[in-house]
Amino acid sequence: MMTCDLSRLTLMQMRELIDAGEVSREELVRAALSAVAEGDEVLGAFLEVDEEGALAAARAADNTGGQTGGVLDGIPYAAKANICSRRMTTNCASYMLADYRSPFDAKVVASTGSAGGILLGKTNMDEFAMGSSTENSAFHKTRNPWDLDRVPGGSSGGSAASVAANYVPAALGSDTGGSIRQPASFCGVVGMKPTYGSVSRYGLIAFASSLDQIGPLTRTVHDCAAVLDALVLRDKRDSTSISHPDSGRFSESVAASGEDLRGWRVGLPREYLGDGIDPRIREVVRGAADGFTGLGAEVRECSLPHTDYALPAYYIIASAEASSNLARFDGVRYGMRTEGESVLDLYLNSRGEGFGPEVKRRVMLGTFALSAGYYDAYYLKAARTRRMIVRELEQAFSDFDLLLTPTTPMPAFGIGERVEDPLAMYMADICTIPANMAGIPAISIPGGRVDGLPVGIQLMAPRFADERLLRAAAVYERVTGDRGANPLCPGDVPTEGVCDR
Amino acid sequence: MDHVKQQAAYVARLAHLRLSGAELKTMARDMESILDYIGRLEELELDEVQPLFNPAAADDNVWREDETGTDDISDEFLRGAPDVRDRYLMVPQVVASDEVEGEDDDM
Amino acid sequence: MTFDDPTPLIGLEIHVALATDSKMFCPCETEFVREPNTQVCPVCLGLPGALPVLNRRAVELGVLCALALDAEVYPEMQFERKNYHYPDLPKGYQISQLAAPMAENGIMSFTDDDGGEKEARIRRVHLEEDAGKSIHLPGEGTLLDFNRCGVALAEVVTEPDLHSPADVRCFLEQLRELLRHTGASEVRMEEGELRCDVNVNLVHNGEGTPGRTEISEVKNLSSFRGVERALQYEVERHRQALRRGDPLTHETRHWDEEREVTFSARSKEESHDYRYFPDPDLHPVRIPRAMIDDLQERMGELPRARRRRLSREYDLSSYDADVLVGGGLADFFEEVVAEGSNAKAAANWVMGELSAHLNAEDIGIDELPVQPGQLAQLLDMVDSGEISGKIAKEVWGAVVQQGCDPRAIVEERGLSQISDDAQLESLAREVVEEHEDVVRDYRSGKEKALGFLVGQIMQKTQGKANPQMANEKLREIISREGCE
Repeated sequence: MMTCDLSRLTLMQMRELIDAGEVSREELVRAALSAVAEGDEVLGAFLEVDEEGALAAARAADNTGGQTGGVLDGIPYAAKANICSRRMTTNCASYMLADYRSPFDAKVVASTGSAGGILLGKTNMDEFAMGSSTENSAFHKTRNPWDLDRVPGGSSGGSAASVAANYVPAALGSDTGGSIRQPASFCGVVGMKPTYGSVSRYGLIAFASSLDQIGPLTRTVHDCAAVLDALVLRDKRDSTSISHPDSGRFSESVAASGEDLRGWRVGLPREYLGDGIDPRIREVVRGAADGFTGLGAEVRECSLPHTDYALPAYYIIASAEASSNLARFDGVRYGMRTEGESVLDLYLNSRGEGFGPEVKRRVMLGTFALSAGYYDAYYLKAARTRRMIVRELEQAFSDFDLLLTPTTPMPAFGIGERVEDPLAMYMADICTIPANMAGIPAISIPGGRVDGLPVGIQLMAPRFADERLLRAAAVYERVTGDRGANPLCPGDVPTEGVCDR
Repeated sequence: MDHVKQQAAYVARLAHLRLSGAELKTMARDMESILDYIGRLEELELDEVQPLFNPAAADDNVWREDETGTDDISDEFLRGAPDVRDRYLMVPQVVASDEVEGEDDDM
Repeated sequence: MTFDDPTPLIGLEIHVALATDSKMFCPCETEFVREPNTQVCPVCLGLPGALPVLNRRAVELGVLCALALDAEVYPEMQFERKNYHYPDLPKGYQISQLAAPMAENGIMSFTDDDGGEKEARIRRVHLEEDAGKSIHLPGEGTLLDFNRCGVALAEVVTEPDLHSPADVRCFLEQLRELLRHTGASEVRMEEGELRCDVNVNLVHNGEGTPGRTEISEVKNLSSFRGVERALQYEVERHRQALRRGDPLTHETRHWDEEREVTFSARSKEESHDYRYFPDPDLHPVRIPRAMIDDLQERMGELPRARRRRLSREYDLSSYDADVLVGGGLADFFEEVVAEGSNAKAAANWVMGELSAHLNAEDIGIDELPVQPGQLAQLLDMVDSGEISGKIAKEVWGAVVQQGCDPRAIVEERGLSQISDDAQLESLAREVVEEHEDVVRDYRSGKEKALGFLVGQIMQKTQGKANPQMANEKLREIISREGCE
């Protein structure tokens, strides 16, 4: 069962081998494919794997001879099933789009492709990105590589698992309320949500337009920076896309990140360390705070009083935008159609059968929040609350360079444990939601263990300070050494001889 | 509970979601508890605060020049569509008494 | 306002297709095409993952509309989502505007059928995207074509300031002219570039028992004739209802062109809960003062204002001003006058000879190979007596063919009017000698006989003789000789 070979290498290690001509892209893809073939029937990270396409792309790149210099040259990667690709289906883990083939590639697929990345397959997720455990997938569950009876987190559970299980060194996820960071925390990998607007949403099947961002899941911070170099660019097809001042320089920045964080001011917001957080996780975070102090940073407690209101406001806004974004799924032009005698029947049948219960709940909540008589009390109120949260964070960032918090209030919970209780499920996002509300960059890196399960710590920085975040995370990672060791090969760590950065 | 169920049924109609009797019951219950939790926003007094609809603000207007030119995906689109007649998409009759809203044009 | 008699209150919601090359939020072509579902892309099809990007020219043309309607253009506007389900609306919402529209509070003056001046207030002008086209096949289903989906529209909403179907027709016709003049839209009716919803009810609140009917809305009328007829029908329906004491219900109706009736579309009061909210995919759009000022300048003088000014400044009849402005000839006319011509003469020539030539050749004023200065020169030569009116027409014929100066033609062909006293005298003598009998007729009182003699002089000179002078000379000679 063990495939402790090429597929276990980090992205940067693979790049080195490709650059040195010591391994071909085809070999890397084959290693990835065989890792998937061996383990994914149990794990369920992928919804679809395109063996033929991936090998063809690898061979074609190999045959052009020489190195392209693309930052992801030869790297096999996975993409969440809500990211449009011309190869394979893009089904958002929903019956509604079960066989849907997008006639265009998402901008991120095009840009990772241009950077040399090779798309291996589409990963499992909560349906339409709504959920925190990947249990809401219409097709199958994904298991946590660290404990197969536990969830990998969600909604980018498949992407997190595919990286944690060493199928691919990098996967793309999407994060609306924590959907990259929370599964990263549960699976012991690195997951980052970049500054809102820095990665194009063109081709991301929208859940909540003002909150969604695509980001990387990887095993190391340097790998994460490398992927970001391919993702962060201004896209004229996305009106919310902005030019990032550090575009293309994240990897370089991490490589030069040094050994300490002297002079850095790190804030510890007390509202993130309250009773709603598992005490053992609070311990991990306090331990991390000590770690930062040890690195020369000044760590102080602070307060963000509106934090408690972020979750309810988020659910209103996200559901409202979702109810509108999902209105297009009506059986008329694509996707599932369940026939009816009239158009009304067509809508009701298709949407009734195509959407799962969580999706329906959010569409209902969102429709309600926007409806006449309730708009002011719900949607507008939530938008005002959002402004308060942004102000508070801006204020905090005038005193601190970074904020340190837990990523999740609990370690990975058991499969089936929360799926019947929507509110309990929503609570899994309390630490991650504020960053989406404010559009600020946030990263989860492995922070420690609770009952043998990985838990992440989260760092947040102001808008456009993605590079700062990566630098701090890289230093912390380098010094603490917890790189989320391969759960399938306990005790195995990537070997010394292969450029240990 | 009945009032909540009624409200849920109305919202389901607006959202064009068909819910079975059992689904409606569960949905009404879930809605009630979710809205109850969300209701804590009432604790905040925010009338003077400007709402925020998107965290990114553009300094300059984001727009494009009036130029034509798209990748032609029309054939691929039609191939993937459920019911096509002579390049038109086909849906069942829009019945006048439908609750389906919208503008109708007979041209 | 007080209405002593039951008076129709009519408000309009007009959708105008703006004259952009590409659609509102995507680079698909807008030019009308026969084959369905060919001018489409992920954005206007509402495919999952597609996003809108605003067409700047649509904003400019929208602002032009607003300025033409004297509306206040706001410095910032926001797009919102209008959520509803309909097969021709791919996203399940239409990108439109509500709380923060492009412009508000305008006014449009128009002339009614009797020449009276009326006004209708414009409540708002905003931007939105068009939906696709539905073709209903009764008993079978509905066909959908998304070529039109996403085309940039300006929506113009009036207050209920129109009080008769005829007035509505006049208003719309003049609105069309206005929009064409500004270039905001070509308003090609046959391509559905102007569609209108009307709101109508009857109010009577003056002396006697007040009464009113509920507003009925007739949707999607796309010809002026259709609008007028539908309104005639509706107004009558409301009148009868009012007489019966039936207030009717607030409802939406459709116009059946063939049977010439309106019929109820939705009798339920199920109000449209469109759940508007600001579109999170589109940031607020700032309309800079500089853009507004620049557009205002480029728009120039509007047709109504120009008619009035021409009448006033050049002392032309309103009919003449109408013909010049309506025929697109006003620019040319004013330039001719600027070159020194008499306004009335210039107006006559432009409306007469010039216009006739344009029609005969089926060309526009831009394709006329004559410069205003050249026409001015021609008119000047007539005015000074250098050539006769008749010769001028001949010269004009040559000028439009060859595009050269009238003076050159006159010289080349020796068409100068003969005004030389001695020459005319000798010609007059000749004619008098040749036609003694006619001279006798003239002497015996037949004035017309002189005309014949003048004609003879004209013949001898191939029309070049100055007819007034010829006339005078003949009289002189005849009276002189009479005294011998």
